[in-house]
Amino acid sequence: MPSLRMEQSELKCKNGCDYFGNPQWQGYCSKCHREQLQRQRRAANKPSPSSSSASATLPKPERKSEDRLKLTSRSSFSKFEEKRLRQSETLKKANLLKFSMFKKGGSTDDHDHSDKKPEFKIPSAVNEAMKREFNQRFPALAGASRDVRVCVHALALDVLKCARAATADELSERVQGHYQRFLKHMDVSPHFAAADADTKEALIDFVEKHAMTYLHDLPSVVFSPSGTDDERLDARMCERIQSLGWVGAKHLDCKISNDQRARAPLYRAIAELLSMDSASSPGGKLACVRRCCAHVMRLCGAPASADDLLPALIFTVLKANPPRLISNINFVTRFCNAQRLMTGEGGYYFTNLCCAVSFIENLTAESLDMDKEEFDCYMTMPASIGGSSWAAALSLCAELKDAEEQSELVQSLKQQVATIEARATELANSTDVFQKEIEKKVADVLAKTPLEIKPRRELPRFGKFQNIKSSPLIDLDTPPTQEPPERDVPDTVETKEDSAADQSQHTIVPTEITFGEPAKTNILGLETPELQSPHNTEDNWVVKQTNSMELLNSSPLGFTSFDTRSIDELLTPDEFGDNLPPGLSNINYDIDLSDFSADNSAADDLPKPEKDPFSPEGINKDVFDPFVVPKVRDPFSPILESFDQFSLVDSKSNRQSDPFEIVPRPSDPFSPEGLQPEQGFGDAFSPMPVASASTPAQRPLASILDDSDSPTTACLLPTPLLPQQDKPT
Amino acid sequence: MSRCDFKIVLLGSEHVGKTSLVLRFVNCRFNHGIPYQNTIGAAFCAKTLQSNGKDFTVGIWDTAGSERYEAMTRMYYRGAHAAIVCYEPGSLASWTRTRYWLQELKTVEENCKIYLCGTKRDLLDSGAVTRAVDEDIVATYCQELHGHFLTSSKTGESVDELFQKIVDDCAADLHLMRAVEDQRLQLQKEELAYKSKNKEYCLC
Repeated sequence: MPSLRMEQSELKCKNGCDYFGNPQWQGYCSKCHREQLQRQRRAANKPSPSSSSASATLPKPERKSEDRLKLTSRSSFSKFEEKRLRQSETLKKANLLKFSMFKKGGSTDDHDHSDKKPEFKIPSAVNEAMKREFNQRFPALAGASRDVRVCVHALALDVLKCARAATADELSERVQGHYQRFLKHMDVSPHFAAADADTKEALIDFVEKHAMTYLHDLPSVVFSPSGTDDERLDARMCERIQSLGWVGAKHLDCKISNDQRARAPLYRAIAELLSMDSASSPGGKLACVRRCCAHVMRLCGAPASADDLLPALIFTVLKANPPRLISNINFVTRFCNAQRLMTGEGGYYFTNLCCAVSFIENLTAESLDMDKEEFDCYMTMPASIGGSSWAAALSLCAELKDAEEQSELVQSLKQQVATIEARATELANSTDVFQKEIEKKVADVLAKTPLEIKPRRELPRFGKFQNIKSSPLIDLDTPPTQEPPERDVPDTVETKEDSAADQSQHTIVPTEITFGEPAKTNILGLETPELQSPHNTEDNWVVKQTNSMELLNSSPLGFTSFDTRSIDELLTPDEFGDNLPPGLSNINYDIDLSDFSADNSAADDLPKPEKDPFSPEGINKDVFDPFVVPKVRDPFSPILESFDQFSLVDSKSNRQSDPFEIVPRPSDPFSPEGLQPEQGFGDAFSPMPVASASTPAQRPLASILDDSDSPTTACLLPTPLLPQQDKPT
Repeated sequence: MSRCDFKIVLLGSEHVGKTSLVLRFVNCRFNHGIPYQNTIGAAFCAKTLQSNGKDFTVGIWDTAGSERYEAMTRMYYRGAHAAIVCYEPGSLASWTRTRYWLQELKTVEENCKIYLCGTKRDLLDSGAVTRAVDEDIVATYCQELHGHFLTSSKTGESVDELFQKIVDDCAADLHLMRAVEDQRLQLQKEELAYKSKNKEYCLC
C-alpha cells in the first residue's frame, strides 16, 4: 500500500494548473506541455518571449493561491475550470473514481472533492433497475423502497469514499456495519413493520446484491482491492493448482467412480465453479458455490456426508482451476453479509470451498498419505505433464459427451425424417385416391345429368294474362267507387276537385306513396306479399291509386262512410287489392292498426294479394263473381271485352260520351291522362273546387295517410305515418 | 432454507457416527409430512425445531472427520452457536481427538456451547463393544460443558433430546439477547421521539 501511495502534487501538472500531468509530457498536462514546447522553441529562436512565459510558467505556490482565489472571483482560470468540468463529465466512471481516490487524499483542494462528489451518485440506470426489482420482489413494502435505495446509496458512497484510505479489512468492517445498521433500521422503521424475518433477510440480500454489483465492476475497489495482494495470491494459487494437476481421486480418498458417464456432475460442478468469477455480487458467487457443491454431492452418491464432500470438492477445484479464486473468496468473505455466511447453507458450502482451497495451499505429502520423495517427484514434474494430461482427458471426456449427445440428436432426427417421409407418401397416396374419387364422382354426375340448354322462359306470357285479367277489373271497379262520392259525400268530391286543380301536386304525391309503401309494409310485416315489382304496379296503379284514395278519403279511420260504401257497392278491400296494390296496402294499414281485431287483420288479406299478379284469370273471376253485383257488371261486359290495358288511354275520349264512364275518370287525379275528364268534371262542380281550394284544412286529406286530424290515427299510427306526412310537405 | 437461527457444528473423528446422527435426527422425527429438501447429502441439514412455543431453524454443519482436514475445521465452527463433539465410547482414539477439539473450541469460540456426545450406544448396551473411555474422565470433562449425551443413531435413543436441549439453550440465550436488544431499541425509540419533539419546539 505505501508503495502505491503518491503525493497529489506528483500527479498534477507541474504548472499547477490542476490538470493531471503525464510523465510522457515531462510531468505537464497536455496544454502546458504544448505551451512549454512552443516556449522552448521560441526561446531557441528568440531570447525571452515574456508574454507567453508569464502565463505558462507560474511557480507552483502562486498557482495554488490563485486557485483558491478563483472560488470567489472570476479570473482567467474560469476557462480552465470550465474545461476541466467538461472533461470530468466525459471521463469514465472508473477513471474518475481512480482520480478522485487519489485526489481525495490530497490535503490541498477541498473544493475539488466537493465538485466531484455528485459524480459518485449511483448511475440512474442502476437506481431504476433497483427500484423496479424492489417493486417486483417486495410489492408489500412499497414504502420501504426509498429506504432500501438510500441504504444502497449510502453504502456505495461510503465505500467509494474510503476505498483509498482504508484497508480491505476496514472496508469490510464498514460494509458489515452498514448491513447491521440497515438491519437495525428495519427493526425501528415503520416502513418495515410488515416484514417478517425472512423478508428482512431478503432485503439485506437485496441491499448487498445491488450495492456490491455496482461496486464490483469498479476496478480495485471491492474486488481484489488495491492494497491487498489478492491478485498475486490468485496467480500463485493458479500455479499451485497447475502443479498439482497430477493429484487424482485416489490420492484424496474420494469416492468418485471411474465411469465417465457417472462423471457428468463433475463437469457441471466445474462449470459452476468457473462461473463464480462472472457473478458480480457475493450472493451470486455464493449461489454458484452452492450449485457446484450440489453437483459434487451428486457425484459422490447419496447420501453424501462431509467426509465425502470435502475431498470431492478439493478434486473439483483442482481440476477446474477457477480463475481469480482467492480474489473471489476474499470478496465474498469481506463483503457478504456475515450473518448469512456464518449460518446459512450457502455459508456451509462456501466454508467447504475455503477448506478445499486451504487444503490445496497447504498440501503436503502427509496430507495425501504418500511418500515424501514420491510427492517431490510429482511436484518437480513439469506442470504441463500432469495438468495437461488431465485437462486433455477432461476435454476428451467433454468432447465424448458432446459427441454422444450429437449422435443421439442425429438418431432422433433420423427417426423424425423417417416418420415424416412415411407420412408424406401416405399423404401423396391419399391425394391420388381423392383425386380419382372426385374424378369419378364428377363423371357420374355428368352422366346422370347432362347439361341441357333449355329455351328461355317467356315472361310476356304472364304479361298477357295479366293484361286480360286486370283490364276488366279496373273498369268494373271504377264506376261504383266514383259514383258514391259524387252524390253522397260532397267533401270527398271537394278533395277530388282539389286534386284535379293541382294536377302537378297530385301526380307527385302518389309516386311518393309508392316509394313509401315498401317501408311501411316491412314495418308491419304483414303486407309483404303486397309488395309487387314496380313493373307490375306501373301497369295499373295510376288508375287504382286514385280510386283507393278516394275511398279512403271519404272514410277516415273507423268512420262508417268507408265501410258502408264498400258494403253497398260490394267492394271489399280485398277486391280492390287485386287490382290496386298500393291502395290496398293503405287500407289494410288503417284497419289493422285501428282495431287490432281478428276480423280485419291482415291474415285474411294475405293470401289474396299473392294471387293477383300470377293468378290465372279464371280464379280471379271466380272470386270476383260472388261479390260483384251482376246488374252492374252486365252493361260493362262489352266494354270489358273491347278494352285492353293499353287501350285505356285511347278510350278516354270515348268515355265521356259513354253514359257509364262519366264518373270514373275524374276519380284518378294522379293519372297523367286525367286532364280531359277532370276538366269536364270541374265544369259540373265549378263552385266547389273554389271553395275547397280556399280551405286549406282539406289539403291534408288529399292522402289518407295525412289525416292527422282524426284522433285514432294520432293514437294508433304514429310511426308508420310519419314518413308519409313528411314527404309531401 | 437459507436462513438459519442457530448453527450447530458436528465435530468428531472419522467413523464416529456424525453423519448418522444427523440423518437420524433429520429424517426420523419432526417430519411434519414435509420431505426434507436436501436429499442429496447430509453435509448440511436444516431443520425447524420448537422451543418454548417458538420455531427455530437450526443448521447442522457436518465436518469431515479425517485427520488430514483437522487444520481446517476451525473454519467450520466460526460463529457457531453450538458444537457437538462426538466420540465413540468403545474407541479411545476418538476420545483423545475429542480433547483437541474441546481445547480448540474453548479458545477460539468462547460463546459456542459445547455438547459431548457418545455415539453407538446400542453397541455398548448390547455388549458388542466394551467401554474404552472411562466414565469418570468424561464426567469431569462434562462439568465445564453444557451437556453430555449417550446416543444411538440406530435406535434413535436420546438423539432428539440432544438437539432439543441445544435448541432450548440457544433459544434461552437468544431470548436474553433479545430482551437486551429490545430494551436498547426502546431507548432508541424514546430518544427519537424526544428528538422529534425537540424539533417541534425548535420550529417555534
